[in-house]
Amino acid sequence: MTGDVTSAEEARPEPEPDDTGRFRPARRGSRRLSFRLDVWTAVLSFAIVLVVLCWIVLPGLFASGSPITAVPHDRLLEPSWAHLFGTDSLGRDLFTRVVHGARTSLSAAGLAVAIGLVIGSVTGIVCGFFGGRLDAVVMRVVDVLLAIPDLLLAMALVAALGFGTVQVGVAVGVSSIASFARLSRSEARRVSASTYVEAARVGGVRPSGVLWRHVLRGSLGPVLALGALEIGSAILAVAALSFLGYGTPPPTPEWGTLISDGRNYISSAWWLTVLPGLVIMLLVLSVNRLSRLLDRQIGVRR
Amino acid sequence: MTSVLAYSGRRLLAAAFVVWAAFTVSFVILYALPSDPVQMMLARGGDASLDESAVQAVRHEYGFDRPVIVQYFARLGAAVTGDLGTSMQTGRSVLVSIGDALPQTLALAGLALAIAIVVALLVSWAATLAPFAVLRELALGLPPLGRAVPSFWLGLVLLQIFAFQLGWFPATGNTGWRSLVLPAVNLSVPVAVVLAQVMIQSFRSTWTAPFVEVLRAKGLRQFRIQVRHIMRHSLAPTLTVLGVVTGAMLAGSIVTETVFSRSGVGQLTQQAVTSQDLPVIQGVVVLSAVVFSVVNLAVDLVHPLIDPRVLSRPLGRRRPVAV
Amino acid sequence: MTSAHLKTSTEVLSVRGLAVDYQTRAGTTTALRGVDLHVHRGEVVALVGESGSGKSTLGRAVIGLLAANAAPAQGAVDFEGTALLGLSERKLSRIRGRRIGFVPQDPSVSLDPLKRVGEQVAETLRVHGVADRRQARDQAVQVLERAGVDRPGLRAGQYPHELSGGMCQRVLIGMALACEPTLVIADEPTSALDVTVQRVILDYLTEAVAQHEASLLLVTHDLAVAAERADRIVVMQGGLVVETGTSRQILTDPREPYTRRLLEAAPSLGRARARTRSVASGTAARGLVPAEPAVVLGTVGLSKTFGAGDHAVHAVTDVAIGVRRGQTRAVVGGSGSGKTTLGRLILRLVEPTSGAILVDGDDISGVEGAELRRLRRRIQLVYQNPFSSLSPFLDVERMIEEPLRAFGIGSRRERAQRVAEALSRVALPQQVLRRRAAELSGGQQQRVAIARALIVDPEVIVLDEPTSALDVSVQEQVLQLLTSLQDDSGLSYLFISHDLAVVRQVAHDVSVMHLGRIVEEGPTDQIFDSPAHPYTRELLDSLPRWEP
Repeated sequence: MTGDVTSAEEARPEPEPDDTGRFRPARRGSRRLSFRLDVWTAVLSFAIVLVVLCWIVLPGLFASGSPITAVPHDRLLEPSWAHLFGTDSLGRDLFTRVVHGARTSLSAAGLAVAIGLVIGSVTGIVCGFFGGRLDAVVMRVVDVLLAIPDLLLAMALVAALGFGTVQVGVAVGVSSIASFARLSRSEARRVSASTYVEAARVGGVRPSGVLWRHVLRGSLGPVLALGALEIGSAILAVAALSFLGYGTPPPTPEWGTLISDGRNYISSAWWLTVLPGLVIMLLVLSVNRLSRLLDRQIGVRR
Repeated sequence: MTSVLAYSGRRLLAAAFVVWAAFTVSFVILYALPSDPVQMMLARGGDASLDESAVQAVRHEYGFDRPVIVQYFARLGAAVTGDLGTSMQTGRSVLVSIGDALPQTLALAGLALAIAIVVALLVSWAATLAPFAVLRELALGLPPLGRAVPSFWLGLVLLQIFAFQLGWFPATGNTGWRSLVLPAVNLSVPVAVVLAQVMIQSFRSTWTAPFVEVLRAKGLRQFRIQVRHIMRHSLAPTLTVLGVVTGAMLAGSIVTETVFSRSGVGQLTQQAVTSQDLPVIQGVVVLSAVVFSVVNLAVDLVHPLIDPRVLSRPLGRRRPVAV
Repeated sequence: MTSAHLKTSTEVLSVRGLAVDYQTRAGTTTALRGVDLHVHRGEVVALVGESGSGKSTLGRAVIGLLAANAAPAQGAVDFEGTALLGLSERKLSRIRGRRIGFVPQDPSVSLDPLKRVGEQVAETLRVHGVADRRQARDQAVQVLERAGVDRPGLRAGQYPHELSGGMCQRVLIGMALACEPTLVIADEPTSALDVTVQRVILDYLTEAVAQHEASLLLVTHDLAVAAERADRIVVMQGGLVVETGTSRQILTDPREPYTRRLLEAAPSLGRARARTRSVASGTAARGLVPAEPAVVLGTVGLSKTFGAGDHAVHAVTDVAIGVRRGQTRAVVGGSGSGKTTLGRLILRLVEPTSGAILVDGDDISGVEGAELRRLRRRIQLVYQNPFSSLSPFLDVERMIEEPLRAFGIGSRRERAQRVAEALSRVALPQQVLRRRAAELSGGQQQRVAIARALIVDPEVIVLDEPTSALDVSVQEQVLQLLTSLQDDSGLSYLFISHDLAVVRQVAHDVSVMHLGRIVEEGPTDQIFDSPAHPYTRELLDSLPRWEP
C-alpha cells in the first residue's frame, strides 16, 4: 500500500445506478444508429475473416490455377470475370496469388502475435505480480524498447536475423513484446492491488494460488484483447517489411511483395497494387473490428 | 523553485538513460546476436572467393575480432564523443550520413505533423459535437479506417491518382515544395490516427467528468464548455502521445521515402537494412531514441504549464510556486 | 426555518407527472414514473430516498441535466411561470446558474482542475451578464468571501486541488448563489465530505439560501439530515413519491409503511440501542460471577509511519486497543484518522513500524509466510465495498469455499456442505451459489463477504465500515445479522466506522481515533453520554439532531 491514508477511509454512498451515464454531448439518435452500424460491421467483419481463414486452409477451393506458373500470353490483363483481380507481368492470375499469399503473410503475422503475446504477457504478469527489483529492471528495458519505433526495431532485427518470412515474423513479434509486457504488467498490478485479491490473501490463499486463480484470470482478458488488436498491426507490419524487400524471395506469393512487384507497373496496371492492398485493408479492418468487440465484452465483465 | 529544478533534473536524467539504453539494445541486437555481418557483407558484395584472410582483414578493420564486451565499450566510448562508426557499405561516417539526410526528413515530418494536427482536430471535433448522428458516426469511423490502411499502399495509390492520373504533383524526387505534398499526406495518416484517437477519447471522457455537469448547471453553453474547458483538458494527453507520434513518423518515413524515392533518413535506413549495414542501422536506432527523448523532455517541461497538478503530484505535498 | 410563512408564499417550482426513462444495455429502465413536486418561495424541501429511488434524477430533470441515455422527460416542470421541459438548450442555459443554482455531490471533482477558482466563479457571473470582465474578478473574490472562504483574494488565484473538500464545496455553493437564483438544487451536498465538516457546510448552505430568500431542494439519502433541515420532506421509492409532508409529520406520524421502515432503519433517528446487555456467556448462565470476558485481540504501542523524512505521514501512533471475546470494539474517527490503517495493521496487510499485535496473548506482529497464512484462520476481514471485495470471475460457492480450499479443509463434499451452512447463517438462499457478485444486490454481496469470513471459524472479524456503502434499510439488516451472529457464536468484532449512530447500535466499547491516536475510549454509553475529549464532542455534535 502507498502512503495514501485518507482515500480508503472515505465513506461515500454509491452513485445512483440510474445516474451513472452522465451527460454526453452526443445527442439522441446516435445510440440507435451506432447500434445498427455495430451489428452490421461486426457481421461483415466476421464473414471477411472467415473467408480469409478458408484461403489459408483450402486455397485451391477459391482459386484453381497455379499461383506460380507464368502464362506469357496473358500478361497484364485487366480485371475481368476470368481474372477477378487481373493478371501480372508474367500472366499469372493475381487473385490466385492473393489467395495463396494469405498463408505466407498470415502465418508470419500469427507467429509474430504468438511471440509477442506469450513472451510479453508472461514477463509482464510475473513482473507485475512479484514487483521488486526484477520488475524495475525489466520495465526499464521495456520503456526503452517502447521508445524505439516498432518498425525500426523490427528492421534492426531483420538485419541481424536475415531475410525471409520466418525472420520477418520473429522480428515483428519481438518488437511487439514490449507493448504486451507493459499492458499485462499494468493489468497484473491493477488486479493484484484490487480489494478482491487482497480478500483472497486474507482468506489464506497462497501466493501461487493468488497468481493462478485471480491475477492471471483478471489480467488475461485485456491482454487477449490487445493480442487480437495486434493481429491487425502484425499483418500490416509483415506486409510493410516484405514490401521493403525483406520477406520471401519470389516467386512465392506474399501480400507485401505482390504490391511491391506491382509498383513497377503503377502507371499502366493499377490493379496490381490497388487490389492486394484493398484485401489487406479489409482484413485488418475486420480483425480490428472484432478485437474491439472482444475488448468490449471483456470490459463488461470487469 | 526547487521542485521545478528537481522535476527538470529528473526528466533530463531519464532522457539520457533512454538514449544510452537504446544504444545498448541496438548493440545487443546487431552485434551480439550470432550472425556474422562480415560474411553477410562480403557475400552480398558478390565476392565468390571468400578467402579467409580477406574476411579476417575486414573483421579486424571493424573490430569484430575482439570480444563482444570490448567492442561494446569501444563503440560506446566513441558514441559519447559523437562517433557512431562508419558505414560498411559506403565507408562514410554514420553521423555525417544521418546529418545529411535529416533535413529532408524533418521537412517531411514537419509538414506531415501540421496536416495531421489539423485533420485530427477536425475529425475529433466532428466525432464529439457534430449535429447529426450520421456525421458523428462517419467521423468516428475514420481513425479505425486509417489504422487499417497499409501506409505503403496508400502512398502508391496517392501516386497513381495525383501524380500519374491527374499529374498535379511529381511522382518522385526531393525538389521543390510540390514534391513534398504527397509524401507528407501519406506520412500524416498514421499520425492523424493516433492524435484523433487520443483527442476523441479525451473529449469524451472529459465531457462525462462531474465538473462539466457543474459547468452546464452554471449556465454555460456547449460551445463555450468545449472551447474554454474541454480543449484544455485534452491538450495534456495529446502532448503525451507526441513522443509516440514522432516515433511513428520516423518509422513512417522509412516506408514513405521508399515509396516516393525521396532521400532522407527513412531511405537511408531502408538501404542500410537491405545491405545489412549495421553501423548505420544502429545510428538510426540511436537517433530515434534521441528524438523520442528530446520530444518527451519538451513535453514534460511544458506539462506543468498546462496542468498545475503535475508539480505537486510526484513530490508529495508541495504546492506550485506561481500563484 | 419555520413553516409559518408557508401558506402566504407562492409556488416557485411545480413538477407534475414527471416521468423519465433510461436506455441501458439491458433495455429501458424507468427512473421516474409520474412524480409531483412543489416548492414554494423560501421553502426548504428535502427529497429523501434510497439509491435507485429516482431522487437525483428528479433533481437533475428539473434543470435538464439528465444523462445522455435518458429519453426526453414526460410531464410538466413549471418554474416561475416558465415551462422548463422541452425548452431549448439556449433558453435553459439562461435559467441554469442564473435563476436556478446547483450544488453537486462531490466538490473535489466538481471544479475544473485546470482553472483557478476565482476564474471559475467569475465565469458564472460573466456568462449571465451580471458582471463584465473587469468587475467579475472583484466580484468573484466577494463571492468567495461571502462563502466563508478564508483569504478570498489568495484563494481566487489558487487551483481546486489546493483547496480542501469543504472549501471547494463553499466555493460551489457560493457559485450557485452568485447570480441570486430563486431556487437552489443541492444533490447530496455533503455525503462526500468528512463527518465533522458536513454539519458546517449544511449550516452554511441553509443559511445562505435563507439569506438570499431562495428556495432549496435538498436531495439526500439521510432522513436525519432531511428532518433537521427541511420544512417539508418528500419520500421517494422506485421512481414514485411515497409520501409528502412537513418534517414533523413525516417523523412523528408517518403514514406509509415504507417511510416507517426508513425511519426504523435510520440509525441516528431510531431508538438508541446501546448494547449494554449482560454477557450471555456460559459462565454467567451457570450462575457464576459474571466476569469481564478476556481480551482476545489487542495491540500495544502500535505505530505506522508511511514515507520518511519531511514527507513522513504518521498514520497510526502508539495505539493500544483491546477486543474482548464475544464483544464488539468500535474504532471511530473521521477520514484520515488512521482507523482503516489500524485495521490493516492488525491483519498484517500493512507492516507495523513498531508495537505489538496480540492474539490470545501471542504477538503476531512479526510472523511471516506460512505462519502468517495460518493466522488468517483466526482473524478475518470484511471490507467496506462488498462488490470490489468479491472476485468478478468466481461464483458465490467458489468464493466462499476458497479459504477452505486454501487451508485444505475437508473433502469436496464436506466443503460444499460447509458453504451451504455458511450461506444459511448469513440468511442467503441456496440459489445464489451459482451467481456471480455482479448479479447480487449490495446487501447480498456483503452477506457473501461475511460468509466468506465466517467459513474458517475465526475468533475475530475486523469490520471495516461494513455498512457504509449500503442503503439505510440494507444497512440495518446487515447490522442485525452481525449482531445475531455474535450472539449465536460468540464472535468478536473490531468495528471500524465513521458513523457514530451505527456504532452506538452495535458496539460494547468505543475507541475514538483522531490524527492517528486514540484520544478517548470507554464503554459505549459513557462515550456517548459523557464524552471527555473535545474531538469526541465534535464528532457527536456532527450527528443530525431532530427534536419534535
